[in-house]
Amino acid sequence: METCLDEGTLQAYLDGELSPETLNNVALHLAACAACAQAAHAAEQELAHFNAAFAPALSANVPTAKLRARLDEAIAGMNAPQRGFATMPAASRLRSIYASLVASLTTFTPRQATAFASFLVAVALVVVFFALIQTPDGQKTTGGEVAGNNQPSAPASSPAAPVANRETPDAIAAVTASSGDTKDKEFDSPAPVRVRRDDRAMFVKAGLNNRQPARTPVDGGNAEAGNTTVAAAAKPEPVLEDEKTYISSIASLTSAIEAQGASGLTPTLRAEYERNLAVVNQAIISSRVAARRNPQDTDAKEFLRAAYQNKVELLSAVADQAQIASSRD
Amino acid sequence: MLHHRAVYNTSYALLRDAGLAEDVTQEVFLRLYRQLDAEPPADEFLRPWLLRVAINLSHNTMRSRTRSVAREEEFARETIGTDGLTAPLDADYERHTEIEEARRALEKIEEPMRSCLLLKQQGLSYREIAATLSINETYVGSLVARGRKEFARVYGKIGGRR
Repeated sequence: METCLDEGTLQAYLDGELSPETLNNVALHLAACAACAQAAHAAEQELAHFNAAFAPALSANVPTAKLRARLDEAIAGMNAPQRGFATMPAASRLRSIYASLVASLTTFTPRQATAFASFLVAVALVVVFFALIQTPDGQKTTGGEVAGNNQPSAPASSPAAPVANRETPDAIAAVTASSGDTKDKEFDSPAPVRVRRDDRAMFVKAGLNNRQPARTPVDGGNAEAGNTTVAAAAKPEPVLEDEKTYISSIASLTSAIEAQGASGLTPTLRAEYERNLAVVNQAIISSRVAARRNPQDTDAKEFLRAAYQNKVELLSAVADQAQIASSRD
Repeated sequence: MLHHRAVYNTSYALLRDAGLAEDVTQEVFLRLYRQLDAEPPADEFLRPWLLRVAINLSHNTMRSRTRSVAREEEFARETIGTDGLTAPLDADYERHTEIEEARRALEKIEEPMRSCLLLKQQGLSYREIAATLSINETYVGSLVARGRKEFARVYGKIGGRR
């Protein structure tokens, strides 16, 4: 008889891993060899022993649902950013961002405009008012030649700056952004150059929108054009015909209140006054932006006029109150 | 997820920690998912591929999980030492200790015999085991036999269950 079975072959026999031919030979040998038959029997018991030991483990719950959920989550997390970038071309991403921006800029209702009109514009325009009305420098600003007074390095009647501004008048956002810059700096130190530049930019913008090229300082750079620019600085947005009246009455009321001294008001009243003033200013700014964008829109103009009216009434009421308070003292 | 049971059971047998076995199983299938784009394993080698990754990850995890082992063994000692008073149910306790003893016996078997035995127990063919462990298929039978013997020796010593 041939040599006895090695343990590997025996194991393969028990595991059913032998080829039919080898299997047959092994079976024949096991039938004839008592030692190998005993070894096979022992191996079988050990295997049963092993399987029995792990049977509970095999029947133990494999957390299939949990594993599946975890895996799905992990794959989703892995795919989410990839899918976003992979399936959406950069151009269409930009387009969608641009579309949403444009949509928010161009669709107009007074309510939306109020919600949307940027806070930066609001504050910046308030700053412009203060700069023009309160500082003695404002006189120079309104009466003097823009470039000549505060930009000594620039030629006195240089049309370059307005023209340059005119070349990029399309983005209201640009105006608002630069106005926003002005806001912070204005409080630290008067920056008339910045303010006037922004005003000019806004004016050019407004002028183009109004289709009033004669008022834009681009026709020759002569003194007349310069003066027009300066006049515009005093009245940045000639949106309403009677806007100047409102502005001057607001200015006189404001100075009256300040002359009386806001200290005449009780703190509660003063806080309320300031809060209302902020609201009214916001309304003015918002509706002016809207009116400037759509010069034909009579609703927007009405809104602006109403906002001015509100501000005048508010200031009048406060001025009366302050006068009463000071006369009582 | 056809082979998740084998992957999970193998990982759990090596790690003796459900949470870690879940982590390993998840990572195995994530790697498969990534691999599918590049060079997916052939169907017949899918299970070996999964289990090879599972074993490798489990080994890596084992090296850095001493705290987990200590905790588990302490738990086993406590439950055995208190006659299962802390275990909620006798049947559960029996089963738990039995599995733990078997696993600890398995842990004492050297590689690659242990993995051979484990993979055999998960139902892999010799060919799949050879592919999983990158060994010659003709050695698998003898490695399984040696592993089986070693297990019987160690498990008999630990648990004495016959």
